[in-house]
Amino acid sequence: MRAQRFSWLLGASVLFYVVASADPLPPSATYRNLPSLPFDTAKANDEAAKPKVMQQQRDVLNERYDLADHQQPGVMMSGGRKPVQGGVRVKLPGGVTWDSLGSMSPEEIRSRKLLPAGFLPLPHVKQATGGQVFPENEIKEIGFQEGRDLRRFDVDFDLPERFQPEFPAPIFLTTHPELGDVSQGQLLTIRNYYSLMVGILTPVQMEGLRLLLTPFPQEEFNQTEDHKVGEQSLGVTCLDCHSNFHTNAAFHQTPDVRPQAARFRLDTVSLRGLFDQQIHGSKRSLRSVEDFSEFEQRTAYFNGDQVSAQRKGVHLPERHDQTVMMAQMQNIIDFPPAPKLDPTGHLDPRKASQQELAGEQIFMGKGKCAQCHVPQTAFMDMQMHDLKLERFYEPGQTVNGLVMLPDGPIKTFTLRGIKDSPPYLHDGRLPTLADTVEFFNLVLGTRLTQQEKDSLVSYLLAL
Amino acid sequence: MKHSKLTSFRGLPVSVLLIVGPALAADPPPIGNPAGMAPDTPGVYEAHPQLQHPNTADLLFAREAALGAMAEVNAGKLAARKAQNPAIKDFANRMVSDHTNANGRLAALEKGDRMNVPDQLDKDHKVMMDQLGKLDGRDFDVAYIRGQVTDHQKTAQLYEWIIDNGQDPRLTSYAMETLPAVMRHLEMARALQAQLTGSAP
Repeated sequence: MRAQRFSWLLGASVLFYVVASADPLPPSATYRNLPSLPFDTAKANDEAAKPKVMQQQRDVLNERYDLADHQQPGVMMSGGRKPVQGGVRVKLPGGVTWDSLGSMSPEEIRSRKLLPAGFLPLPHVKQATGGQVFPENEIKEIGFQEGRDLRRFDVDFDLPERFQPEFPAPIFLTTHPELGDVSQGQLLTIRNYYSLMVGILTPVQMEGLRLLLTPFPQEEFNQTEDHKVGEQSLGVTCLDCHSNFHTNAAFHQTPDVRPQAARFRLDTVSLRGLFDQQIHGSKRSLRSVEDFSEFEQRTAYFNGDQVSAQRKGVHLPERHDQTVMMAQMQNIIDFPPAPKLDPTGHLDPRKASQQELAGEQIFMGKGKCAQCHVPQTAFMDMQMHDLKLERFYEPGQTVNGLVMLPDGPIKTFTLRGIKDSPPYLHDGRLPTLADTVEFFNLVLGTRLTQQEKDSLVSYLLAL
Repeated sequence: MKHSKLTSFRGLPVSVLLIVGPALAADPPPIGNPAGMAPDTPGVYEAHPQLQHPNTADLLFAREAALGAMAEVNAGKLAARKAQNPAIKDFANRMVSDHTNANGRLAALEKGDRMNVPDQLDKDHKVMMDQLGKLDGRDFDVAYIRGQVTDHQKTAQLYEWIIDNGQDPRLTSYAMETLPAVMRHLEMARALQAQLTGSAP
């Protein structure tokens, strides 16, 4: 044994030298490359490629999902302007049903390649370039109000409008529950925020709001030669994605993973209920919204690449006087009212339907949902969990430039007001709540019946 | 710590090719930021550069992948002969056959152009082979399989890198088609390492 150890150590000392001198992977595996073409050439190049880029993403979506208009009867989003889409939209592979799939072991599903493609990570519309992509309604409204251009020449938004949140979303404040939605049906912008909010907000909150609505340079929206809008851009604002402090389904890529082909898509999260949230970011687990507001200049704005950020004019908000005010504003954004919930987060049996009550039972018991989505803490648990989806598929396949890899631990998101926030999961891979029920039924092995699944959806719509 | 250092072989095997198919079976992803693209690249305006017009990343990938491939077959042949544990022997034989297939295809892709593939191992892999040559029995098995884990980790990262950084669709397609098998080999190597050393799988 001793002799064996000795030989190990001897080997270690020799090989250590080799490792230290080895050729590393190229810098572009971690850092952003400097562009090597003049802007005009890059733009012409991108524009020529755009039809094919969009077609490739449409092919992915059509292979995975039924994106037709099937509304959930009688259910509207919280502003009362947009119907909620219903039904399972993820397509099944041939020869199986949801029930037969739910009765198979993960190993069997993996070896027979039966995991529905729609359960796999959803690629960015143009993985190699990545960056922020805004939906059409946001682009139009910001263009109209501010004359600021959010339209990229290399990509368009991919998911149909019916699977995006209500726009503009209603705004509920913890400081003024008696007022209800204070948005007046408008999108908050740097142009209108003062007249909409004076008298409702404090001076500190007003200043925070102003900062959240002020455009700053971003990776694809800036003044250098490396931008993806027609003209030099003033940049983007926090609320360009978190429009009206909710989400407009704008997407990006995680700043936390390299190389580029491994960076999964991120669907913008709603800021409703931020006051109750103890960890922030799908993967980053930042411990306060102040930290997050400060660090977004490194992440959402610049992909977690401070080298690129410095060149393009990063604006780092001042910790003591700016991020705190931004946080004070973000921390008064409430969930939409849920009249059927009592103060502990449980359904009031006098107000809820039998189906909703049955769904709550599933949620707390057989469905295992409440183990992480704890009703008393706004349907979160302040933890990150690894669903280990790779039990069901072999990693390594590339879909439109994104390599299908295990997600690892991801933050538990709140379910309050969840009907307002399609698409679902951190990357938006699931178009409807019925899809999320099928997804978790499979991943957690809960073997719910169709009736139980329907009850669960009905309950989720009441939250 | 020492253990992990001992076996941190630097290596980039071209893992696999269980999938044998036409060179462009997978549709290459659209080219992103044209970083590294020379302004005189033919077809640049269509964003689909003509074949056989590799960029710098492609050239680097070709070199690293070829070096790794060569090392993988050499180490596999050695392990097939020297390994004590039958499972390690099986794994080594599989590496030799899978990689010999893959290498043939890679070599065909890399023929001509500006891709001057090296004809002998780089220094790191030479040292690795030298070290393996001096070990025997269980020591050899552990050193070989730890090296395989590291090599396949590096290969996975290298292949992922070229998928969104390369320009020549022959190489990016090759990387996309080969990556699932790289992952499979990595999974096998991790399982064997766990079996042999009690490490976390």
